[in-house]
Amino acid sequence: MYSNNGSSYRPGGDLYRPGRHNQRQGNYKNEDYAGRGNERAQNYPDRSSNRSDYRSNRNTYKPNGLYNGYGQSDQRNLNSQYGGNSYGAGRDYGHQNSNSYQQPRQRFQGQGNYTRGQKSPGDGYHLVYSQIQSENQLWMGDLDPRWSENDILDIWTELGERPTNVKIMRDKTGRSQYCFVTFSNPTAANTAVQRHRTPVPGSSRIFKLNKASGGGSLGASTGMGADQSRQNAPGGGHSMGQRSTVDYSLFVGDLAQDITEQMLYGKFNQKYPGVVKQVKIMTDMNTGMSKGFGFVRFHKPEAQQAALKEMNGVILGDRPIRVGLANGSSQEPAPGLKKAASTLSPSLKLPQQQPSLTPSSDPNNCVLDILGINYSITRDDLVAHYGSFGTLVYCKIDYKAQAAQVKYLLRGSAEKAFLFTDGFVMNGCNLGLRWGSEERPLASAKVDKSVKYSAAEKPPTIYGEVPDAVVLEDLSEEQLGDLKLTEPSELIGVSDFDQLNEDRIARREAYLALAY
Amino acid sequence: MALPKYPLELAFPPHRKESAQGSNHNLPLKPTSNTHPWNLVYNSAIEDPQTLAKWDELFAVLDSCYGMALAKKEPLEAVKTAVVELYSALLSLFPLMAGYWRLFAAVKLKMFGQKEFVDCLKCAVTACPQSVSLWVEYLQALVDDLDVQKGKVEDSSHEIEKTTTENSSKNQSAENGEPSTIDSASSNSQESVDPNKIESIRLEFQRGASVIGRNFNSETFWDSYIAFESSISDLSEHLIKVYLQLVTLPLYLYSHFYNKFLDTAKKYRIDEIITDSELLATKIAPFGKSLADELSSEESQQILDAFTYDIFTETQRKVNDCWKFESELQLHSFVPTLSSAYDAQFEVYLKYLDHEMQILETATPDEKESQVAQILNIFERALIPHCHEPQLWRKYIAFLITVGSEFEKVQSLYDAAIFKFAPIADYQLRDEYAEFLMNNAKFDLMNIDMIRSIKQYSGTLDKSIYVKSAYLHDIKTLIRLWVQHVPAASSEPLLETLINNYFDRVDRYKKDSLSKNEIQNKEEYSLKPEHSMSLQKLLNDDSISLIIVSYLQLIRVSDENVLRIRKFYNKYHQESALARSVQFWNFFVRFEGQDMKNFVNLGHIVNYLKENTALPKQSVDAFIELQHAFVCCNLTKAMSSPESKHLLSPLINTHRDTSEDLFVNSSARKRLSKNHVESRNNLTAQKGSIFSQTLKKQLGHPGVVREYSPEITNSWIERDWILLSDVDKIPPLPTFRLVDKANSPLIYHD
Repeated sequence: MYSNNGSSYRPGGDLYRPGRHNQRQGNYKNEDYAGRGNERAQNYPDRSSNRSDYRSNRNTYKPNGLYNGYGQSDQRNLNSQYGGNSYGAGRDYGHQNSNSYQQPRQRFQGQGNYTRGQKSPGDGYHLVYSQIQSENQLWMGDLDPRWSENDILDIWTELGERPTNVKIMRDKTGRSQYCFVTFSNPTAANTAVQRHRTPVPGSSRIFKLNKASGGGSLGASTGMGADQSRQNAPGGGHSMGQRSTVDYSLFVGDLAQDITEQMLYGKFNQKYPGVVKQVKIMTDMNTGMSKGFGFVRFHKPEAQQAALKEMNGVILGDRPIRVGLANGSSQEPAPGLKKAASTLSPSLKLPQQQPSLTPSSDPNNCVLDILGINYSITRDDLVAHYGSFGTLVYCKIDYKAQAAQVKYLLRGSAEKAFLFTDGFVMNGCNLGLRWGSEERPLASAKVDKSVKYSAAEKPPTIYGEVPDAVVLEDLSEEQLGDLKLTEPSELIGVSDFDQLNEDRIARREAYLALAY
Repeated sequence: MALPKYPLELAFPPHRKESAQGSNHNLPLKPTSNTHPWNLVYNSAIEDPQTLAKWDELFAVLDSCYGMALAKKEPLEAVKTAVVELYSALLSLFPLMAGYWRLFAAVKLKMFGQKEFVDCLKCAVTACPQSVSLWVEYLQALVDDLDVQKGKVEDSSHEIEKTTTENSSKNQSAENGEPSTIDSASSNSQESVDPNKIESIRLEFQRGASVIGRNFNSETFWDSYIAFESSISDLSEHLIKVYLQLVTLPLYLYSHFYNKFLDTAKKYRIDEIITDSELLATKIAPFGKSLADELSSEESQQILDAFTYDIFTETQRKVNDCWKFESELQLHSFVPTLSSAYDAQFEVYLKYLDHEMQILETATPDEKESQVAQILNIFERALIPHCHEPQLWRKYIAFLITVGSEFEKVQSLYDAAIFKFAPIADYQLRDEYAEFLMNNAKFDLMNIDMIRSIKQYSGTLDKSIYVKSAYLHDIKTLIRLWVQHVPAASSEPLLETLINNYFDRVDRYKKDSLSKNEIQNKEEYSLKPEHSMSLQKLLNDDSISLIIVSYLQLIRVSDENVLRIRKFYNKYHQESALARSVQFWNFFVRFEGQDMKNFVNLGHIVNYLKENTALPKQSVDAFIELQHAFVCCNLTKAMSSPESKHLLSPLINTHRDTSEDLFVNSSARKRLSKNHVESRNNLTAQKGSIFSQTLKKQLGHPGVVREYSPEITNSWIERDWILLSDVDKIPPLPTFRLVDKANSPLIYHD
């Protein structure tokens, strides 16, 4: 059993998200499948109408043919697994993008998972089981909503390729999304796919066609994809399934317009012969022009890591290419490479940048620098102005530097003081404020960046009120002991309360009597 | 740099134009001009004058410059000027540093010659009179000068120069009383001595003896005194007088001098030694004789021995008595930065003085005089290393007053303390001085000195260091004394004139009304117009409120003046000088709330002050609480008022208006935005908006300004409501501006 590792590319985006997939080992059994799939596989045409009720809309099929392109070469040998993912309850669908086609049983499961970048989240999910040979089947997108199956049949008939079957896939609202057109033989299908990007007769639309087998990739990966798949084919799905459980892919950017997938493959294969699994260049779906970037997938993590180091800046065509880890590529390259990968891909894990620790950004800093001091401001003035927000630890003035520094006991007091007094004109001086540092001398208004700031100590945790207009540095040991900085745990009596109030009033009166 | 601590620092560095004492050159080059190598060192020394090492370095540089200039025969004027200025600067700051005085003198001798040298030393002993070594050097210089002038000793000047420089370098940093080499080599000059010269030198010696003679370590001085006297005559009455004075003093080398005295005394007759005839008579009487001449040599020797022995035992007792203190006094010189050893020694001095004062109390009237002199000497000595101790000054002054010292002496002591050495922050000393002057009925002198002190602190001098607290305190004291001692009839218009002149700046200095107000009153004192004029010039925004409050308190005494007080408020309350005066608002809040109980007026006043003034939050809160208290205490009266509904708001809003939350406290917001730098600078902007914008920018983290915040440009929130079913009117998706700028990293101002 071979499990294809489905993947989807976001159209026009740079997200490459090879899905983690659930491989199942052992041969596919029909019962199995039926048990999981509720036999709807056999009856899909009938179920299209009530599809909406049975599946979550996580599994949406992006109608641009890209979603399933990436596993195309392998799927021919697919044995069974269609990716139970879409039915498993509680799985992380966001990472499970599988497209599996069970060729031997001639089943088609067009199951894509596309949740990102979706424009209208409600518009679709899709499940298809096909019993026809996918080689005979084409995917056709960009349908006119008015078209019915018969209309499409008519169009093809008109073109001389009468399909054997047409199936339109609709979304919940019944709007047609795309369809699968089955021809009688692969030759007819191959001929029909040539009409890609040609106008639809009798309509303003343009054919959007792709091999329903996922062979999309616009015929691109042909060169090697086909080869490889053939090489791998006899090996049996088992081992292949094992191997492809992990993806080692790289993003390749800055590609010139004229670079083809062959050229890209050649370049990488030359450097890492035998380990390049697949290349893919992203193209604009309308114009078919290269978008200037692509992906290279390796068999071995060593090659991936080596290429990441070595291929950056290698000239391809006429310009250097850029190599990076593809988004969503294997996070577990190999035990030994784990570390290397993490150091090499800083761009992937961008830690949020924190500001460096400075007086301003330190949340425990209680020191304020006051700038613009002159002789008309005495220390008493400063204490009167700044002391009413909480207990001060110290208050220093340096007249020569025209600056002062106060330290509060609590951070909250300092913040209040900052809001109240920033830009205040005190005694005719325009005062400026900034967060200060105890170690930094008040030498000048300019900040000496060379002095390293070390984090302030955490202020004490005090929930009660701290006494106002007290400067701890002025107090004797005894007075410090008398300070009731912690809230009393017991309720205080009325007389004590009165006493406290009287003390406060006495302090107020003393202040008013002495202040100028 | 904190505020200067001592008055001498106010005038440091001295103004450039004031050159050193005794050198009145027109200065061709100033030391600051950048051409001289000493400038760098000069600046660092001026920056940090307390560090003597920097000064030493500076003087070394100057010395080498002088040497170079001398060798190259370049003009010396610049170096000389610099040296004089710099030494003068240092010594004006620390006049008690004897070591530097001696260095200065040595440099003067080297650069300017003998006369300048002597002059310099003379200045030194005036500025630092308690230094034994300075006195010794000074007197030695005088003696040598005499010899040089006589032309007796040709090369002496050379030798002196050598010895002086040696001495001074030896004693650079500390003057520790080590015996300096006093050579009595010039003793051969006794013939043909100019008696006037000798007499003047002798007077200087006597002056020195009175100043430092009692210094416990003054042996070098006495040695040189004796050498001087004996060089003139081996057997003069001056010499024996010196000895007789000397042996009674408790000195460290008292026995050494006693022995010398014994040797000398043998040459004198007994009545030359015991000059007190009564005492002599009692001494002679046991021998059955009445006159000294009648005594035999053995007898007179016996009397002499007994007499000197008495002196010796007495002196010995004194020395032993004070030895326990003197032995602990090790630090005699002044240093700018004191160590803990100085504190310990200060305690010893205090104990020593207490001990000596106790002795004085029990002393006999005969001993009292010498004991007082002894105590004074200890005070003087203590005031060299401990000149910055206000306690010592106060003790000294108190002692002088108790022993009934004359007014001038006490006053000069106060003067030195207040204007030179005592800490500026020691207001008590100045208050005591003012009281002392008033007690001695020296009202004019008090005015002069208080104004001098105010001027010193007002920052109007060259150095412009404004010591606000001292300045305000002095003004307060002065006004208090005026109000106290000048009759109200004249002090009231006087203060009023001061206030009017201050605010009506146009004719501030021209108004002649002061003299008109001069009332020739017989009671108490009258203030001279020049004093109030000079005070007028010293007033500033800080001090005018003191005058105003004094004035208001003066007129408040009479109930008739209520209207006057209210008119005064209306006239002046918007002055910016008063917006920061706690006292002014305190007066009016209490006047209306406490005295008049006019709560409508009180409400107006408090509303004005909480929204418009630049008072500290602490005082605004206090006034709001006061208002609350006044209204609560007089609720009946308040409610009976026709405007009682206005009176309720203070009762409700007290906590809002004292809140520390700017969102709640709208009055504080108004007050702060009126006093905000930006709204002051930017007159066109709507007041308040700038402050609230600034506030908004740093919400969440004060001090970290977020300049931009993203905005929706087509916001429909403020528009009319629309029906969502009305498909045509579905508003467009929001568009934004400033998203990038708001996302840019914050800028920290540190």
